Amino acid sequence: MKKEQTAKAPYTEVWGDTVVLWQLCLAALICVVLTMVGFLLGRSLFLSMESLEPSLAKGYSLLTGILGCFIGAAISARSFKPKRVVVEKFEQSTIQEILDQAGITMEEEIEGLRHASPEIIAEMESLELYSLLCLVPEDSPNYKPEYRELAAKKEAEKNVD
Amino acid sequence: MLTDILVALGLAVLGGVLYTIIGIIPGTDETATMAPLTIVVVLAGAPHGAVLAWMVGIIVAMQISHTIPTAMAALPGSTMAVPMVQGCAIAKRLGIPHVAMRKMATGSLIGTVVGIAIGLIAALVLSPLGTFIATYSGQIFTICAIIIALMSSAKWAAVIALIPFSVLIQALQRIAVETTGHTVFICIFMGITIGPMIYELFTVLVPEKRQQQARQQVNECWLAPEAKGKKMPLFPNPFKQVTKKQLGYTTALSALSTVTFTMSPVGMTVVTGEMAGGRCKELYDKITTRMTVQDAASNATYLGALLIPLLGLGGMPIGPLAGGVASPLFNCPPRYTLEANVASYLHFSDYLIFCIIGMIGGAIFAYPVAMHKARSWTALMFKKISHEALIGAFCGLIVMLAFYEAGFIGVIIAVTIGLFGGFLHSYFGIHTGVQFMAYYASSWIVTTLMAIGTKLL
Repeated sequence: MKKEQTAKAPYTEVWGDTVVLWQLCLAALICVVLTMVGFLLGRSLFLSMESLEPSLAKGYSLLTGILGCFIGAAISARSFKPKRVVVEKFEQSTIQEILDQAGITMEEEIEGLRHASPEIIAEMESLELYSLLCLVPEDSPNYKPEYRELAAKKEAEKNVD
Repeated sequence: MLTDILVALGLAVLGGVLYTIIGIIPGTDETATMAPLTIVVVLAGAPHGAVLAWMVGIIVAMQISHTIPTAMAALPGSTMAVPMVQGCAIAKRLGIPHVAMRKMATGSLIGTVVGIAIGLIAALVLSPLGTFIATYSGQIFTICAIIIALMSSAKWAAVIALIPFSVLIQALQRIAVETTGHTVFICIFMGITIGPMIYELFTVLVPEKRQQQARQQVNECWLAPEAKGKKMPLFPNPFKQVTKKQLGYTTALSALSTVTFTMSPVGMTVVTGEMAGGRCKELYDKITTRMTVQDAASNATYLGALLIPLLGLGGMPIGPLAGGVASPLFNCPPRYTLEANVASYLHFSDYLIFCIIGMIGGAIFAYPVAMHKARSWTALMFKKISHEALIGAFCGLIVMLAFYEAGFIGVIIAVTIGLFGGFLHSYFGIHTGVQFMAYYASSWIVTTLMAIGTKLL
């Protein structure tokens, strides 16, 4: 029974992402081998150069090792595709939900908009954040009647989509 | 001098390009990615100034580019980007992830300039302390290790763990001396760095644990849709991206976080972000201000924590950065040791020149990419770079560096420290920062323990 369960789950979570275990082992093997081949080849090459100081020769061989490492990583990346699904969409959230997530109450937000600096209001206008701007109270210098119309228009567009 | 400057510029630009790309890959840890290649740069014999320019360059590039997946996919691009995830998630729901992106990248640039300027000034003020610190380094490292341990989530458990961990390090040093004739640093340092990864890889070897980690489906990543809006110049004026108030907060709080170089950089990022965000009442104002300040502060803390121990404390690796990410500038045998490292060879004017080179080299590629290509590059990383390849490349690098220093036994030492340290980090919350300081304190701790032991025989 237990074996069936493992067979059903093809992926394993390691270090923050999903991988296929045998591919991970193979990728590690490829990279370690190629890195060491690069390093050891470089070392014998640079150490045979008499004009080069031995300590520097060993340092340079790290560079050929890195080259091997990059080749190994490139081979692994080509052979083993990422295990991720990429989703592209805007979430449809109400302002109330967003404010809840930020820990701000609706009253605080309205108060904040009343006293917001003209610079901030201008930025919000250019980003068409009318769903926030329509909350500006009428007695504030930031108030513009068109915000509410534009917010309603944007909301209507959203619903059409 | 001219060749030094040219090499520095070349390395800073190269590092800038490389770490812009690494920063976009979600979840890459700073120490694990920056330290190995920096060790290579040091050991390959780059001029001392160029090593500094490289370090500054990769810090600047990574601090800009780690905001890219954070804004575009609400996945932190590195450990330092974790505090910015909440703001990014809200920006994402408001439909303005690209604005979050620009504010953070701009904040990062401001933080860089402030971090370098204030960092160098603070270092000059502190520099008389250098000789005192060098005389009592063993005791000072131990005190630092205790303080960092107390600030970790494990508290006193972390302080107690310093003793067995020091004993383990010194025992492994003895094995290294018996085999190779010299003590090791890179093996132990890399072991601590990749400890959390080794711990996870080890976990999936245990059948019972592997079942807990098994997944039916792949991870789902969200990606921001294409942003509509005006065309921007290639290198947009940073000052036009933030409001005057945001600029003021960002500058002031960056300066503050530069001088608190012994604190945890992630901690300072959270604290300064709250200080600025708490003063804004309105939602849009609050989240954009907070994110601008956060990325500026994380950058400034890094630069302060690099420059102050180098120039101000005479090259003693005190603080989370000097012991971790920037460690190869302080200690990287055989080229650098605690007695003779980058700090011993550079003068104040060199710091100024090479920091500016590093800053330019680091930002020249990362900033335009963040401003223009954030979305498409994130999509590219998601679709092309597999996690398998990433972990594989890490394994290759670690094995090579450990082998370079102490051959086969070096690899064994790195894995031993990695498994033990990774367990302390992931299971008990005794994070790698505590372990880095424990390395420097271990010699004094063990010598003292042995002295007590002889008396009580």
